[in-house]
Amino acid sequence: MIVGERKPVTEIIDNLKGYRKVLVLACGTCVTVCMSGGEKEAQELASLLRLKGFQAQAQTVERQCEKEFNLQLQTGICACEAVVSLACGIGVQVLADCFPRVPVFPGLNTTFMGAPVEQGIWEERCSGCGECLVHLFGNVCPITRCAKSLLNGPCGGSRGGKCEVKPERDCAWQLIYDRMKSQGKLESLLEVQPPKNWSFSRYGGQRKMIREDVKL
Amino acid sequence: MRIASVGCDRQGFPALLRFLETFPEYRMDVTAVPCLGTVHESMMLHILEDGYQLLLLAGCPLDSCFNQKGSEFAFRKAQRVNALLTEAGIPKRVACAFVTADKIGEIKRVLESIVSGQKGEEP
Amino acid sequence: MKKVLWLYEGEDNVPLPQIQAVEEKIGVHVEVRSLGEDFSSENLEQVLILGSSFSWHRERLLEFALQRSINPLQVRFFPWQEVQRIFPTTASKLLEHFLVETLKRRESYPAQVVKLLPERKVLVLPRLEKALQEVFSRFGIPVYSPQPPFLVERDGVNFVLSGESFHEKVGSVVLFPEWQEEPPLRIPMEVEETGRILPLARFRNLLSQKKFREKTVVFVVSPQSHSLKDWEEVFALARDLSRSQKAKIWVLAEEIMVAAPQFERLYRETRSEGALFEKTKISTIVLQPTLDMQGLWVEFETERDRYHQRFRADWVVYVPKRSPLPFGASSWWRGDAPIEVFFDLENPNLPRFSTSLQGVFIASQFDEEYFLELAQTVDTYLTQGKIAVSDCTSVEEEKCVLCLTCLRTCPWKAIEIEGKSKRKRAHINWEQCHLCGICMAFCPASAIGVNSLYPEDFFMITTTGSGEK
Repeated sequence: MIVGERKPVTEIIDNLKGYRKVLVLACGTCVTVCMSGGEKEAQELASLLRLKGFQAQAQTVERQCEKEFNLQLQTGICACEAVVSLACGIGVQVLADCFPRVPVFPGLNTTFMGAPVEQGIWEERCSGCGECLVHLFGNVCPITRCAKSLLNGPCGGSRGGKCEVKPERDCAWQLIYDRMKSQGKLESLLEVQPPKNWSFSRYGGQRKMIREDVKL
Repeated sequence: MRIASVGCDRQGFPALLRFLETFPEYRMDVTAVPCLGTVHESMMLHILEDGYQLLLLAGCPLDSCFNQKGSEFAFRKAQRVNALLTEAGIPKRVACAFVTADKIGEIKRVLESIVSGQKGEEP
Repeated sequence: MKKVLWLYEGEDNVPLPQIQAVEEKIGVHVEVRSLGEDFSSENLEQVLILGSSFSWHRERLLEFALQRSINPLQVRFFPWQEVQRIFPTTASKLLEHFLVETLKRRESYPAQVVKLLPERKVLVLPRLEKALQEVFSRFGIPVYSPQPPFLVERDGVNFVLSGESFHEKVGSVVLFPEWQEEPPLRIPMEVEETGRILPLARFRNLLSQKKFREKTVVFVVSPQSHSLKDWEEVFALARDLSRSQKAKIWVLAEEIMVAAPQFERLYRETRSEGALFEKTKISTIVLQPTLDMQGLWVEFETERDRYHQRFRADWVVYVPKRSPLPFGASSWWRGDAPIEVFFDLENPNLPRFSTSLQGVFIASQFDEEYFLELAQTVDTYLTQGKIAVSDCTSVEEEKCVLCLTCLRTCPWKAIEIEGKSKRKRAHINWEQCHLCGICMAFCPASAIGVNSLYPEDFFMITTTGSGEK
């Protein structure tokens, strides 16, 4: 799921300079699960804003990336001067598309696509490269989890199972090696992987997916 | 300084009442919750919005909470709220005191350290 | 007319004058009784207990509701004894305001306090000792210990075991966990080949065979090591090796065990002999063999001041990480989320052997006296049962995002995910729920409601006496 972290409160307050009536919009899906932009967090932020002198209200939208859910806010949005959206970057933009004349400020820094490893800790697992080849690497993604996105084995800096770029992170290739060893497939790592085709990734601009059969 | 305090059913709330009896110079508005773990950030901020400068959470000592980690959760949430308040430059705080109904000295100590801290901040 | 019952404890002044004012204000009839007296629950709107907060917490209120067969949500408590002493002039007004506020929030939920008695049968895993079976039979408790594979599911306060050829219901489970040990840090193959890194048990055997004069020995204690015996041994070895053989000793751990009695003294003694203690994150310790393969380079960062340490050690001794072997039951509890951890034992409020999972007990020794204590505890549990409140919690299906936070955070493991259709939701088992409200505090979607708790509008006893916040 998409994980984001709330922006520093000072930044949000700075952005809202000159506005008084503010609506804090939470999103009920990904950011609720990673506890950054859900209903509770929206209420917290609204409380903080009220303590700073704004007239702030909190509300939740089921999913801010769907136009239909946002359009239900028609009346609420007209009554306020600015909106702080606690959705991921997608939600902020779709919300702004629905209400182009209302100033919408992001309340979160959307960071990565990841999963919880334990309660309270979320780690990145996918970079959205557009061509998933994790099965070749024991289902550990080297693009995301290796700091250098290497496709052919560890770099010389891997020490003690830790990455030299970020020493508190595990070396992805160590994990790949251990996994392939436990599956008895070490030989397949000897095959040299060709350079990755990055044209499927975001380098080249915004991507699109079309399903002709479900279009109306 | 207007102080609100929330105490857990078992130890915190009786401790707060005993504290108010023993030290009548302190004045606080008190309420009870079943376990300090019930208190979450929105609740803390909501209370502070009602005009209080300080919210005091009183609960069972960390390793003897009946619900194992209730006091610890409350402590962590209080820390988070304090970080937000400091960052936003709001002069309100949440403080925690882990007490038993018989040992209420901690409440006095916490309140005194906050009051003296505040005095130190005055120009 | 509906009536409100005021039950006072002790011989405090009963605020008679205020009753009339209250009656007029709210339009109820107020009856005042002493706590031990009888009363009829006909037309009863609410019961207000006036006493001391030292003796009335929620469990006692539930017991009271159980005894008198009243809806527990109708029973309220006001610390009249203390409030009278703290706010002598405004006490009556506070009481009046409390009553008005609580009557405003009249609960229409038909909650019920029930005493649940588990089945008088015990499941013992993984194996049943004859001696234990005998001890249990003395208490009149039949014991059951089937061969795997079987499924264990929770059913109210009981556990249902189902296997190929059997189906049993038991009231309690006793586990004798078997532990598997593994090193607390990664040991690369080349480090292992030096033969200089050992678990504590093997190191013990080496003591008589090797000389440690002026050698450097590093003890690495696993973060989950709550075993006092292990720590005692580490302290003793560290002290003796330093003292008698002038060895250079390091002890690395995430937390140094000083909390248990005597341990602070042991720690100080060991330190005074010259042993060095450092707190560091065990999984980040890096080991490398020396060129002559006779020693190991140990590298870590101290937690205190992030100081990078690197030195040569002759021996590295680790206290292994212990994890329990699975019990042969192929699955525990219905629902999608397996409950993995039930070995948190350090709650001083629970009787010995108890875990936070109701009815599940953990044992570790095999002698007669121990068995007797264990059987006694289980017998007490089976006889006393548990007081639970039905229909007191709710999870709003529409709001629940299935983030699993409540499931993981519930201290009593009372929450499961249920639902066969696409729309699943968290489900709180009322039989296990202790109404602590922690799930409600954590739920990021505010989907959980605990009917006797008021998130924002709870009542404050205020110093102004007006009851206004």
